Amino acid sequence: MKFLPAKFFLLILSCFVAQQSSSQSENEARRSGIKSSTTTISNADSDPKKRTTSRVFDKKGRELEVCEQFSSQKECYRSEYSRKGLLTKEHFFVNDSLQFSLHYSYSGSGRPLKKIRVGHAGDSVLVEETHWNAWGDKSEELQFDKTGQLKKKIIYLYNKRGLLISRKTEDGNGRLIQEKSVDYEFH
Amino acid sequence: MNFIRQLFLLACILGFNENLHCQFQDAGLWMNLNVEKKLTENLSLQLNQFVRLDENCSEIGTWGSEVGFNRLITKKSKFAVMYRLMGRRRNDLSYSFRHRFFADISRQSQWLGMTFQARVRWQMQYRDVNSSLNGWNYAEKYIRTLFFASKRITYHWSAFAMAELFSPVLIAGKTSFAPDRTMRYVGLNFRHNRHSEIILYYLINRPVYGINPRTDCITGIRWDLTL
Repeated sequence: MKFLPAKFFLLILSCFVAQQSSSQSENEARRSGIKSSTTTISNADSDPKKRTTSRVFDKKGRELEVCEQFSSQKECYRSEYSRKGLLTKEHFFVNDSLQFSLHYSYSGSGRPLKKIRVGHAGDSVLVEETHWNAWGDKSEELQFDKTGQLKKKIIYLYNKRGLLISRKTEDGNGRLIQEKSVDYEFH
Repeated sequence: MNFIRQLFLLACILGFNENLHCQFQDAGLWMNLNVEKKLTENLSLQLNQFVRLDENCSEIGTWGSEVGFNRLITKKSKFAVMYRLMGRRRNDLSYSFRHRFFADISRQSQWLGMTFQARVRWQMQYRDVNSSLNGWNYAEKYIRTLFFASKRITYHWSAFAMAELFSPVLIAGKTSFAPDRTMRYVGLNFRHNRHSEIILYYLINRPVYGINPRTDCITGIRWDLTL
């Protein structure tokens, strides 16, 4: 029992340190004027391998490039943004060779609509599609596999106050996988 | 929080107190039914019907219909274009028909838990088309500026106050931007859900100029339906 507070303290401390060592948030990068950062993790004891993560930010604090280096392999993704600041494209590279890109499209009010995977040969596959109702609530989310077949469908239902009452997840064949429902009591 | 609520209610009561000054007035009752169909998240079609009783709520002074579109420009700004056909009772109990076109631009903001809105309306009205010399040849033009403040008390209830200034751009052949009429409202808004709202208000409609200007003290009820 004596060790419990000490363990708890250590847990909190490790969470705090972990939080500090994680990547910068968009706000932090903008506020602090960070242009790029490099994080290196090396374990001296058991694993001599070193992992390096480098990030490049623009003036608004958005990530432009994230690269991870494991021994001889380097994986990067580069991001592009629209004038409104919405993520429009992500390009994935392995050792500076383009593997695939993700293209994002949005509605006029900035809600995500489609995510399309474009291969290095130019082949494109719809990965995700989101539908919104006229009130601006998410009504349906469709996820597709690499061949373009429907993998998962999530249906959202709302009550007359606009509160989420049901979230149904179905597989590609329409079989129910999970249902989450919310009941409300009002004053 | 309670203090702000009490302060707002006090302001509403003071607004009603204006009634004491209504010595040369008419009592009226305005009834509106507004139906809005959301076509997309940013665009909606609006259909409004209204009847206004005057002469101490004994006669239909004005009736009319409006149709138009609302467009959200940003999350806080809105643009609307509307057409209104209305009939206004003449002294001989016939009705003078008017065609009104107007465009609104409004912006809303939140501050101290209250909602504030400013709206500018440009309107153009033709009267007695085909029954007078003016007809489509002459338009009365106004700029109407509205300031609105509301405080949500519970999910269902909110209280509001607003003031509207009527500035003639072109009326009776004269151009002047000085306000010639004001409308001041206080009221309560009952929101049943996001599809239906009932608004009860009290309104003072008063000309700015003139000796003993005729002041109308009006009670109003409006039902807003959003589909």
